[in-house]
Amino acid sequence: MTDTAPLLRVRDLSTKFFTEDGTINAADNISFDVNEGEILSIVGESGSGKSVTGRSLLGLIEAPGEIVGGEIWYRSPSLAKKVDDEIVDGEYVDLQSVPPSVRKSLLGKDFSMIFQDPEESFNQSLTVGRQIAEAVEVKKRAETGEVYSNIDLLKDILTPGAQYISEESYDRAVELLELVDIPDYTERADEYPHQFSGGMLQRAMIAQAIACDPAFLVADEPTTGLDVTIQAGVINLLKNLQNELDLTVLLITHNLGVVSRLGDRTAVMYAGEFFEVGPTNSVLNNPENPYTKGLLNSLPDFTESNTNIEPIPGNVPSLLDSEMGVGCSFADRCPAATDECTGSPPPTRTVNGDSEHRITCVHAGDTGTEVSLSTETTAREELRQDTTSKNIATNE
Amino acid sequence: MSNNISQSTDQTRIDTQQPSLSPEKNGRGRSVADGPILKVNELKKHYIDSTGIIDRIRSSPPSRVHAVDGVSFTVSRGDTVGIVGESGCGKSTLAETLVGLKKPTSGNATLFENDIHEWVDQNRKRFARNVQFVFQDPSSCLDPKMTLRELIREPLEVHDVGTREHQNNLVDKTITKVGLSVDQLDRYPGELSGGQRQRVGIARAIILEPQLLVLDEPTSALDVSVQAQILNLLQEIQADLELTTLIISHDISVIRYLCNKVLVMYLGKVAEIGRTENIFSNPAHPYTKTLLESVPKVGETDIEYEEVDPDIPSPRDPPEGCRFHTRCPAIIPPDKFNFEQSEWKSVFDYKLDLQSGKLSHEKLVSIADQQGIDKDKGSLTNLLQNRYEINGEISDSTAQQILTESFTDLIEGNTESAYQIIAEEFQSPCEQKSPSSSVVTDDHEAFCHLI
Repeated sequence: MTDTAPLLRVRDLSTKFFTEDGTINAADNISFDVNEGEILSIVGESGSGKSVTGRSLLGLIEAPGEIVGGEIWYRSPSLAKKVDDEIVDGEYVDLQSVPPSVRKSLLGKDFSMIFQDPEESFNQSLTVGRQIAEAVEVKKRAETGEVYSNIDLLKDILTPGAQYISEESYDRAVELLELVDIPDYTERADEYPHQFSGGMLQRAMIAQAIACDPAFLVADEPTTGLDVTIQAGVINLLKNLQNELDLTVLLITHNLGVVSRLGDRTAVMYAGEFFEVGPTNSVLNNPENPYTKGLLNSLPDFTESNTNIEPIPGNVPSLLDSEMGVGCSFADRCPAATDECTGSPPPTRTVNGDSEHRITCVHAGDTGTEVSLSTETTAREELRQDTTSKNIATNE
Repeated sequence: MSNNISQSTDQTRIDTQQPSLSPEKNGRGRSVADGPILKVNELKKHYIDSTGIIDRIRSSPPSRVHAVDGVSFTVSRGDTVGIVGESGCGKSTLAETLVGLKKPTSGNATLFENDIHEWVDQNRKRFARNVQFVFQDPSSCLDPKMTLRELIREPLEVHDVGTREHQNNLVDKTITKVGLSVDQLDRYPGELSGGQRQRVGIARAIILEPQLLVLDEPTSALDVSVQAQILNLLQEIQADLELTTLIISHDISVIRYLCNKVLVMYLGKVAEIGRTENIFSNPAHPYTKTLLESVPKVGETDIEYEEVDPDIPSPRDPPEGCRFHTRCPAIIPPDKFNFEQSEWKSVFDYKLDLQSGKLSHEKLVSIADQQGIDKDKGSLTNLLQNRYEINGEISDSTAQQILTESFTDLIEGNTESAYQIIAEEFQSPCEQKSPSSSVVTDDHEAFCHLI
């Protein structure tokens, strides 16, 4: 929050998956800003589209998924000079319109990601140090205009892994391991992923993600599957790194406790939409949206015993296009739902006069403060019709 | 409704009872109803590695994983006991041993004063009637080719309970009890959501009205809002059927919500056991404190948390004395010195690193190389002081002398004597003898030298 101009401006982002069962609206017309130097957390249950949102920002959506609409404006003066004027707005570049090669070149250098399962994400047959060094090396070579040529490939086949990575890159990898507080980092760099404990490997993963000094980092469930004591360490590490390196982090998690410790701002996601966005403190301590309230009430209280928890009835809805109505997607589970809720899409309003804190609900929020981040209603209707016709077309 | 069920199952129990079985004698008699129904006595379960041919020729002893290493506790009727601890602390092994899936290495556990493992050997079926298990992952423990009716009826068929008609009636009653409806009985597990599947898993476990129900991470595969439904369901069932329950979970708030007793385990041993309110409001063991503090709480923003050493020692070779002493922030200093706790912790960390070989002369030099530090005595001492966060002189001058001596030896290349000096002088009671149980308050014990 060091700067008033956000690093990313996401407008009407829609990501759909075209599966055999129908179209899945994983991210449905999402608009939000990511401020520079903040940790924005997205919380939600599984299947709410939080990972898809994160991956969409990085352009990592793979078939059958597709970003079908929306704009992702990224503030990068250097990039703005390189691309066509049509897709530039001041210092901002619309990433959805840049050529795929440019988009890809941003990965690692500008954008990076911490994946959920480090055991799965590391190559088990290369040492951790090499894998981190690879990220450094790729960036270095890209800067000097080198590409991984067939000769490099041949060298790698003949002497696996030995040629491509230079000594400096390896040293940098060791430094990175030190930065993420891995004890005995020199020896550790020369070990294989299976020799690391889960927490250590997650730290190594973070080292790899920050290897090329990214400006924006997506952390997808970075602490899930770790013991609480280890989780606490990883949380501290992320927080420290974010301060030291001035990172902007998008944190994706289902753990509201982790959000409390880490997030500057929090977005609550449900069925592919943002239901409540605001400073973490306001969202978690003064929630306004019935879903956020429900989510908080359904957590067993850690500090008080025998407080009752109230589960949200029903299940997380399927995001199939054919099963989603026009209205609020939480309406059928919502205790406060009325007929209005199902008729039309809920408006987005501010809460308690706080322009930072916005919710999407018919029944809550300050009246008359409809936030027009986008031409939401019409766009949404058109899109729905669009995809319906597309569906019919594919079915035929 | 619950009356109906218990009546009818009691009926079937009478029908199917086999009087010849010895465990039955004390079994369901109400004579033991007031005392503890489950007693675990110095239970140990070690996994022994298979030895290779070379080991056998050398006749070297196989290495052992001390998964559960001397655990004792009792459970009274109607108790809900939660077992918490980090992964690898042996909580799942403990549960599996208690339900007879694994044989203990030594020690025993009794249910209604009958040794569980003798009972299992004699008649596993009869034992299983009394003890049921709910698994962690509801999707992998349900046969996808069976309908819900078949799945829930299966335990009744295995145990020959009543006629088919009677079984179907029971199935109908049980499914409503777990919050599903009768018309869902013809569905297959694949058509259900995760929460609904876990409900089926619970229905299968409670349809036999077991005396003891063991749940291994019952909600960890579920979403928050669905988890809440299952938690409430478990609480209802618990109250309804007067079940005695053991719950294993890494989610401490789940344990707090469901259990009236908590068992904190660390590396195969009990660290602390007691009533839930006592453990949470007044944790006595430093490990319990650490565990509770490290849980991120909702709504508490900007909390600074003091990390503990994340290095959990291997249960293959657990530390001597108190198992937690290698990570303990409150480790007891030796009597003869006047240490500040933080100083003592630093010195002790230094000692542990020398002991485990994490620090040696060679390592020190390579660290210095790495950081581009000169290898003269002053710089290396500084390096050591920074590494162990020792700021300048420590308050006790004798201790400082010993430490300086050890540093000098280490820097001069004599790792062994550097360790010897420090090992002789700086000994903590925590590493010498393992703590015995100390009573904190009623029904609240902790295994720590500090108490």
